[in-house]
Amino acid sequence: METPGEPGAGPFGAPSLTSFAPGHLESEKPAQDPLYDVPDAGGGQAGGPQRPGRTVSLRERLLLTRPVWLQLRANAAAALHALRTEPPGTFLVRKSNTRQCQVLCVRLPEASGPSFVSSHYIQESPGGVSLESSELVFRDLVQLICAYCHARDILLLPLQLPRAIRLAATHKELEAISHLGIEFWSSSLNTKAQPGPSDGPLLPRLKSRSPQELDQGTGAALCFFNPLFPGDLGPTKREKFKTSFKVRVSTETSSPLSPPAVPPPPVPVLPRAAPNQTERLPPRQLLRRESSVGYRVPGGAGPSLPPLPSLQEVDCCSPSSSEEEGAPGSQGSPVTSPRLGRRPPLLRSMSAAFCSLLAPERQVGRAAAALMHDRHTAVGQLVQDLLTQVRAGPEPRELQGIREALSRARAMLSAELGPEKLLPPERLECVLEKSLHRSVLKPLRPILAARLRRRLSANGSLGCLAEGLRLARAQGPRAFGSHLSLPSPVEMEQVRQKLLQLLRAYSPSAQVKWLLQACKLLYTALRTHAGEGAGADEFLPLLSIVLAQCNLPELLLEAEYMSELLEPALLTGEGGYYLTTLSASLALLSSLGQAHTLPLSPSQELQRSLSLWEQRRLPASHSFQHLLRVAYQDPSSGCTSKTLAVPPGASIATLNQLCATKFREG
Amino acid sequence: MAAGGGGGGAAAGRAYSFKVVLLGEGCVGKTSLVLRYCENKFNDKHITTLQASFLTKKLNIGGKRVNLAIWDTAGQERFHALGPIYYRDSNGAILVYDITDEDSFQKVKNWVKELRKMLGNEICLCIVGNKIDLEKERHVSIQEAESYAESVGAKHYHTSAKQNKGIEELFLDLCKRMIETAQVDERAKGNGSSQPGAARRGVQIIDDEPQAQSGGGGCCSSG
Repeated sequence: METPGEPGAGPFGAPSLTSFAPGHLESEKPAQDPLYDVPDAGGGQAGGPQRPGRTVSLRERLLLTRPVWLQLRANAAAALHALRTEPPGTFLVRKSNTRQCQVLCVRLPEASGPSFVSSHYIQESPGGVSLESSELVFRDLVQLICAYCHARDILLLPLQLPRAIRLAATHKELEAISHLGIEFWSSSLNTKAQPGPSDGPLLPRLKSRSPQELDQGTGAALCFFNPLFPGDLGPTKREKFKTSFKVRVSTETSSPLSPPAVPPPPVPVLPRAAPNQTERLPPRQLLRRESSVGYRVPGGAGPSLPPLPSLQEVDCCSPSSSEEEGAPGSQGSPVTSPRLGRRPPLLRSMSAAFCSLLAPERQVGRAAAALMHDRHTAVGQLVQDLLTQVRAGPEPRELQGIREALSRARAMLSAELGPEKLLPPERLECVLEKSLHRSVLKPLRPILAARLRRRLSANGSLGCLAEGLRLARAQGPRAFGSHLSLPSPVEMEQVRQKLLQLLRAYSPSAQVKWLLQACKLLYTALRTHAGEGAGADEFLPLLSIVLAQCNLPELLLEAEYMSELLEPALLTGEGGYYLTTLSASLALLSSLGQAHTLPLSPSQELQRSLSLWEQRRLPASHSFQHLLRVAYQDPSSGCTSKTLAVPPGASIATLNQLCATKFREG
Repeated sequence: MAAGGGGGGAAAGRAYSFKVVLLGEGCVGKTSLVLRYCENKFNDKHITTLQASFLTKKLNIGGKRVNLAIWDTAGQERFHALGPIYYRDSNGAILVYDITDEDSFQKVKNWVKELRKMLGNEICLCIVGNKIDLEKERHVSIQEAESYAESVGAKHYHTSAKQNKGIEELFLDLCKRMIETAQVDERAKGNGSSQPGAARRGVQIIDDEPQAQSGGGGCCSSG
């Protein structure tokens, strides 16, 4: 992998103001209000220097101030110049001199090597934008920046907006800053909180900030918060936590008791990593970073109590909701855990203690849910954006889009939570998948089902199936040339109950479990009629007869819902087989109404099912399953881990090479 | 170096996953064939109790682990049109005919044509003359069947589900051929991973050297 050679390029990078085309992003620039409130140069608003702009989200800040940080006209030298006096983490985006892409330039801590700026190419693909050599893909640049403000991933440290932008409380202030464009960097507005006597008074004030105030993306001093232990409050626990995650904590700029948000951190205490080995520093430095991404959950930052999970989050993790579909066999089992969020405050600490004793699966589930509900994490952003987007309106092939996003989110969560080794990898994937279903599909299910229904009614598929079901009932088993007799009414009713459960479930994996249970009942019935050796020859007609009797045309929706949303790996397993059989049976039933088309030409329903599958293959081949998390222990600087894309069938030699490239260690 | 699986989790050693579809006229003994194969040494930790239509088998062939998923299909003519949704993404197909039933051999020929048209040479074809215990009533000549198989790049096998003859060999042979095909694919495609089936197999790593001991004393230890 080529090092983005910006440190070197800086000095001799000739000014090339010509090679520039305004990015599409600029066109989105919000309309400017002619009346600007100019933020006080000292950052000292009436409400105090740290008054967070509570109404302005990080994304808005980024959007409004693009003219400042999106410097497409700037070359490497200009970027270096602008960032020269900025605190670590400050960044801007410029156009590459050498490649047709943008470059993210990040100010590094002084101690990190010969260059004080690291550069990262921003790759654009149909799926979105990503930093070169990172697996995290984002819908757009702003989203990417947002994410890297909170998660380092491959960066040495999280991004940080200039102080004035972080502290601006209103859109007008931001617009005033934005108006300056690149001039902002050298303007008096661009104040830096120097660690000096003038800032002394900041500290006591900081101590009194409420957790809510910390939630405002003030950036650098986001302190470390372990999502696996949401109740992890006091110093003692945090100490324990620190030791278990020591490699991570060591790059953090704040200790548990240090005041958050003192930008710029005076040369963060980085583990010095044998600088003599390093020639091209920034990327290598990145590799020495010691932590994985995203454990900083802003809401939980600071010395004060992190907020408890919201009701919504608790609901998502509550046993009732996880059991509701998790294990169909255990339905009706009593709720075994309290619903923590509804407890009075006095019991909170007890709840928190209780939380940490929960089974690892629950812990992982909670952590995953917390990450997904937090827009400040990359995965949270992805999930929340997905929810917004789907709610906004139907799109063609939206189920595939959702599945793709789910897979991506799962890869991100897995990279995030996998290293904790709370669960074996396969179990982890399973828990994460479930968790995603709860956080994404549960809220979306009514919308998606309604859209599917509308579409399948409009194109006549549902009507066709209803007619076929009617004909099949009228004709009985001979509709399928089967000599089988109908299962008994009791058996029929049992199967019907399973199918009704299937219709009620939101999670495709839970649905498949219900389907399997229904099929199992059918096999039991089949064996009494057709003996042990009964196979697909007998099963398919029997299923079709029973489906006709149950008369649930909605299964057509569900077959598509499941096929599209089930994790692709399951489609080749037993669930996939019986799902295929269900689709086959529904196609068969639909075709009864158009008897002339059988047996030689596939029915309309069958063709539809096949073309859906064809489409599905595409995203499946780009699946995000080929990710491998590799941790590397360096005696001098601790442990580094990276998520690598490993093609299927890669040999160890290939992997070694990949690691060598990615880790760049002698 | 410590490696943690991101997706498939098949970091240690290699496991192939193959999908094999079972095609053939009704009553030729497809189901018995596969039941016989799987029940003999059926030692699966899956909760698969459904049996008969979908069966799995785990094999170790010369150190290569193979997970076989066998998809049975309804063979009656009226279900023929449903074939594609079953055989898509298959690595192998077992086309079964009854040696006493000329017609069932004709059906096999139809399937061969369709599979080659739809899936090309990626799929390993086995043509199986079942019920050799009824040799006396044979209506399909061995000569004809074998030369036909050869002409379409398929292999021909003689089996008796009843007497458990030829079945192990059939599946073992098929697995070896599918492994070969997969290896050729992998070599040819290098980094590309868009061949059907393989795309869903997750991460596969050839464990061609002892894994270096992790020096990570506690580096990734969980809290």
